[in-house]
This record gives sequence, C-alpha cells and structure tokens, in this order.
Amino acid sequence: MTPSLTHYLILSATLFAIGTAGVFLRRNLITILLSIEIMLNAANLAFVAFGRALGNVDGQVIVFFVITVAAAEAAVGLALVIALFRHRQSLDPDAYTSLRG
Amino acid sequence: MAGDTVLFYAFAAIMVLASLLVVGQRSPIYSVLLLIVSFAALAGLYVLLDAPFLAVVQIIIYAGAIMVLFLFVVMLLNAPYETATGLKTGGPTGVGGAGGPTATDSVGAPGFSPGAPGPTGPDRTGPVGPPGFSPGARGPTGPDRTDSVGPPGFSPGAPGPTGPDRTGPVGPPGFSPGAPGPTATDSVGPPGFSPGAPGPTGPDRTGPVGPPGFSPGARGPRWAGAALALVLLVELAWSLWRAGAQETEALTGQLVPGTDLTSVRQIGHVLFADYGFAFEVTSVLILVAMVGAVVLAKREI
Repeated sequence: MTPSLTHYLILSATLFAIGTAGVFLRRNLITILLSIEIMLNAANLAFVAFGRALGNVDGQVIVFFVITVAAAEAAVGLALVIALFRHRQSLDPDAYTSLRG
Repeated sequence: MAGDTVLFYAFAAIMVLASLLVVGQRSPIYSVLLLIVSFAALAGLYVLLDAPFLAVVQIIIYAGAIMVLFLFVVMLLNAPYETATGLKTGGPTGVGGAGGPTATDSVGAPGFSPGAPGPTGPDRTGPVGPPGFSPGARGPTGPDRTDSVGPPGFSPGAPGPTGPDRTGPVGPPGFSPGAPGPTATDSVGPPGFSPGAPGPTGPDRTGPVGPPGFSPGARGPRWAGAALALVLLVELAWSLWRAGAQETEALTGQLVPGTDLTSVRQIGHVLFADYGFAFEVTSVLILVAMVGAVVLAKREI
C-alpha cells in the first residue's frame, strides 16, 4: 500500500496534536517554542502533501514562506526568552504574572 | 514502490517518536536535538513527496540554522530543566539529581566515615557530591550506590560486584573533572535513558553528569550532535541524488512534462512570478524581526 495523501494528512494531524499538547503541557518557554516549531512543520507537511496531490509547486512555495516566518518567530521568541530570563531568572511561564488582573 | 512505502513508515515513526520525546523531555538540550531528528525525518518525507529541494532547505535552514539558534539560547541560559516541582536552573545538580523525582541518593550521610573500602577495593577518589558531603563508605561486597546522577528519570545501572571506581566529577559545576578513567562509560543520557547493566568488572562512572551539556566533559550531547550531523549529511546526499535521478528522468522524457515538481527552476519561477509580492513582504518581515530581536536581547538600549 503506497502512502497516499491520507497517510500524510494523518501524520500531519498527529504531529500537530503533539505540538499542541506540548504548548499546553510544558512549563518551559523554550520547550513551548519547540512545540510551536513542531506545529509549523506539521502544517508544512500538509502543504507539501496537498501540493503533490494537486500536481503543482504552490504548496512547496508556501512552505518557503512558512520557514521564513518560523525563522522570524524563533529569533524574536528567543530574544524575548533571553530578556525574560535576565529579568526573572526563570523560564517557567507561570513566573510571569505581571499582567494578571 | 515498496521501498518508498517502507521509508514512509520509517520516517513517520521516527518523526512521531522524536516529537513525542521533544514534548516529554525534561532537559531542553535534548529536546532541541530530538527536534532536529524529527526535522531530518521530515526532510526524508519531503524527498518521498518529490520535493528534494525543499528537503535540502529543511535540513540546511531549519535544522541547520534555526535549531542552532535554539541550541545557542539553551546553552546561553545554562539550560534550566523542569522537575516535578518546577524549573531548576542549571546549577549544581550533580549528585542525586538535586530534587529530581527519582533521586535515591543512598550514599554517605554526612558524618559517615569516608573511605573504608571493602575487600574488593573500589577506589572512590573523586569528590562526588556537593560541598560538605562526605563520601560514603563501601560495604565489603562493593558498592550499591544508586544515586541517580543526571537528569531526573535517569537510572544508572547497578554497579557490578567487584566495585566500580567512581573517580568522576559529579559535583557542582566549577569543579574541574579529573582525567576520565580508561573505561569511562560516560552515561549522560536523556531522561528515561538507562544505560545497560554494567558487566561484572564494574564500570567507571566518570562522566560528569550535571546539567546536560555544560559540564566540561558532558559527552552525551556532543556525541548525539555528531551522530546527528552525520545523519543529516547522508540525508542531504540522498535527497540530492534523488533530485538528480528525477531530473534525468524528466530530461529523458520518462516523466510527463509539466508534472515534474522537483525542478528548482519551476519553483523559482512560481516563487518570483506568482508570489513576488509575498516574497518582498517576507524579506521586510525578516528585517523587522532581526532588528526586533537585537533590540529585545540587548542589555541596554
């Protein structure tokens, strides 16, 4: 049974679920950012699989943009993590409750 | 193609497993390394989807550049890792995991007389422990040190009957590690990683097992990184080979014209013709993100 579009989509959904669970379960800012990367890559896989099924390269081109956005997000996110860590000496997101009403 | 089916399931299994471990991992440095494994598997899936150029981009840019940025930050912040109670900043977490849930440090209560080796004679020369921690005495049958040095969840193997030489620096950082013993079985593994049961000659656990990656001799992440680099290199070569093979097929007319998704030329055409504006906007986004990251991470503006 050669892998079809459905196989790739199931894999993509699984990875997205894992990433979502990581965002909500982990108490470490860096791990949360890594979970976001997992989710982005799950979406990338779906894009490429759809592009392959439809027979054009637009899916692959979108992935380039997603990778660019991921790079920007990683840079800004990690800069925020560094600034927060310098401020509070902690990476636990529960330590940052200044905006709690 | 049967080979592709097998490869698909292999890559999918690696990817799901690595992603699960990323989420279930306590030490961030192994999380990042496992995420690189996951991305390597994803690049393999791209190759199977006839997108070898994207696979190369995934390896070089994503696994190579973005993940190295993550690694850099993890090392810069000295890798705080999560415990059951909260985050532990990477500090003197050498012996006993410093509050790790599985720490069963049953050696040498303070005041316990050091030395007194048993008849089988283990040499415990290394300062193992935080300051003020006197090394424990040996029973006559050799040690049963079960202190779990390393990340929580790490269970060191039971020492062999003839007694291991614990010469290793498992103390707080700042302690310079001695020369590793000749049979150093450096077992700095990720949590859940249990080194094999040592043989009857007794292992020398000389690996500094503090917070992963930061003790001078923590070779676990180093070897993992080296192996990972090798895997990525092989995969790059494989994807380029696949791309070349498909290009050849397209040139010799074995592929229906217009359906070859592999050609970089076609991707470039679509990228710069149809998505030209989005490309420009993305470049501005990258520029803004770069300036923003510099401003945010700067100590004083």
